[in-house]
Amino acid sequence: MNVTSCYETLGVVRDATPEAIAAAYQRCLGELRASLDGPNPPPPERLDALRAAYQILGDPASRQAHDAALTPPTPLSPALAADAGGRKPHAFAFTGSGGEYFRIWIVNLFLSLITLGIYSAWAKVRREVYFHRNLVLDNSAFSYHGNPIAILKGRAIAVLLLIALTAAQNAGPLAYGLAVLTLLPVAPWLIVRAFRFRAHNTSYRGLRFSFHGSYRQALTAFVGYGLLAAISFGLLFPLFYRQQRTFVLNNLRYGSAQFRCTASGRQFYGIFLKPLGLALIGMFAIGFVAAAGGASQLLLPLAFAVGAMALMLFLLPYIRVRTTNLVWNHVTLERMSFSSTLAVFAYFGLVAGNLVLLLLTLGLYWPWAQVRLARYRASCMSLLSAEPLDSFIAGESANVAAIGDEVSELMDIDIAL
Amino acid sequence: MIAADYFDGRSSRRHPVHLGLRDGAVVVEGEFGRRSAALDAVEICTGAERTPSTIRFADGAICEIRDSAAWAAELAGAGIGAGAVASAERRWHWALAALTGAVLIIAAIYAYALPWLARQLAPAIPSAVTQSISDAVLKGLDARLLAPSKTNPQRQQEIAAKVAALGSPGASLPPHRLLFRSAPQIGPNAFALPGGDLVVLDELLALARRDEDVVAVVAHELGHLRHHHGMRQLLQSAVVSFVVGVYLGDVSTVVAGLTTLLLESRYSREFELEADAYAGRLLLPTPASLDPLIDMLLRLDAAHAKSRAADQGGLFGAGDLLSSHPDTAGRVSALRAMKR
Repeated sequence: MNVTSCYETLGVVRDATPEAIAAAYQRCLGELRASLDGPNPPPPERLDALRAAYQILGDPASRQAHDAALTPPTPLSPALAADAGGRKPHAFAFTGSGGEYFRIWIVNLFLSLITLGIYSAWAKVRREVYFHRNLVLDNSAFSYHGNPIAILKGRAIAVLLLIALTAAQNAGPLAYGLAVLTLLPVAPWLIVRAFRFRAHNTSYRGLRFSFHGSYRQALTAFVGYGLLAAISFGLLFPLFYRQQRTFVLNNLRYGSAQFRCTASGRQFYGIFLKPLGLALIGMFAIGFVAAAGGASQLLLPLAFAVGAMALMLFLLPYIRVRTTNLVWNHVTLERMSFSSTLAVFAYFGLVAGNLVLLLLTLGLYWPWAQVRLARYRASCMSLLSAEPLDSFIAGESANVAAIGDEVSELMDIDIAL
Repeated sequence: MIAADYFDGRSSRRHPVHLGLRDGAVVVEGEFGRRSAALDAVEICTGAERTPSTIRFADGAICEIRDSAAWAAELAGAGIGAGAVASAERRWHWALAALTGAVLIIAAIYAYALPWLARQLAPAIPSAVTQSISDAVLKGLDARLLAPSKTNPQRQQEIAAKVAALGSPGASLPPHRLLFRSAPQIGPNAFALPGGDLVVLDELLALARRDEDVVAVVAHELGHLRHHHGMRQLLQSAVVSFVVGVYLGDVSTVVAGLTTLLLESRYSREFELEADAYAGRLLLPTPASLDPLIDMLLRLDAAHAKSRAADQGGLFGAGDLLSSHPDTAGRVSALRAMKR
């Protein structure tokens, strides 16, 4: 029985009353009887379908379960979700190990150094392949197909752009302003290319992802909303953030299946309210310290250091955890949905532990830190699906250049999917 | 035969299969049927240890192998090894070698390549650029730290004449301009700016017993100018602070700043020795030879030690480490060796 078609089978709207459903059932039965004598009699399954649909929708409990399967899910724990729509959670898992990645990382670093950076494109592919291959869902791994030569070309252009920008910065504020102004309309183009490259080079079960965002959409989401956030002194920042995330997901396809993200601006404000309030209190506290203890020169930098530390250790991880959960709990892929259950305190512990170990090892802990984060993120993510993941079909394929991806990487634009 | 999953590239449907190598071809068999392709017509990507391996067919179909070890063994049996890089990634001793290599390369860049590059580049920088940097620095110093000199102009001219006399037809002095300032906060000192401005402080004149003492210090500063130390320092520290900033910027700006300072102090030590050597060559033919320079070095060191003591050890007591005129004893003995 196809779960989407119960209402369609009976020809009623989603919020039809029980009476209306009963009436529709009787009408459908009458039509069926009448058409049995006609030139093309309906197949016998039609009667079974009608009966099953009425059985499900006639009983309030089974109708509720049916509805839950249709609507984009509200955040539920995987176990609960499985009960509701008959959908099974398929857990993501990251199977890589810190030691393994350390060896890849250090060999990459060494070869990049002795080739004056040329090897870094191949190094990137090895890194991405490692992290993709070790991300496993339903016993199949993801895959990365980036072409090192394409990445090298993109990287060269990105480096030239960065040098030009630095030169402009040194030449004076006017030249720098002009450079930024010329770059502003180019940025959305680069962003679109970056997502296209990443999506196109990621595959799962032999099917590629693809990205279909347009220049205009990127211009609105990044430049338009970015300017709005700036002139509103950050008050519209949560909307800007939401716009970025939905721009990515609503234009992402797996094979020919479209991702949809329905998280609302209101929900984003719910997340940003607490950290924004805390940041404001912190700034007031610093201002107070500055006003009251103006004599003490040591206190002010100390307050700033504490503020920066709090931002890095708590505020940013908090926002990352909450927005990741929000976004993925509102993403659908055809009739499937996702569940993300990152825990704020566990994530704090992970970030702080990584930082301490990085400091103690002069940075050599980096690969382990990356693997620990990847493992935790994957362990909190699952895909909810009533059917096996067998029914996706390929979309059209295209070749994509790497330029956008490299520029955004150098300019530190966060484009994690 | 190894268990694997086959995907046809058109749908996400999983086909459990067995695969193996036969006569230079990959053979895949399962309920869906049978498929084989020559080894050079497929793309083989072998994963490390627990990472899955894949075989990609020309039409986009792939085979995913969970048991990478068994697959690697099968490939090895057919005489196909993993690539050099992949093998290196799998062994700890290669990883440690790479780590050692990376550290050595970075150290070599820091100790040799960067100074060499700066030495080649610094003279090539147009004088208009160095002059504008110099002017900006001098303007900033004049506004905050430096006051007009109280030394009478006649003595200024005498010193300038004695400095000019150091030059000989065979070895002309680098272009320079002597400027006199007063700065009680800084104490006895003289310094050269990249454009050729050479600032002498009244406090240095007060410390000197004769004009020859001042001339000796100026000769040392001329050495800095002759070797473009200002520009070289600027270039090197730009690179060092950029790299350290990228590496440690996430950790803390204070840590990054201190690290940069420490790394740069090594460069300034070399510059001092180079400038001493130049001053030594200028001063050797003079009647007083190197004695005024050695004398001034010791007196400057004593004066700075006194002011350091007044500062209660400076920054975390690391004054010696961060001082720009370190290791006076070493410099003095180098000069004495030159005299002989």
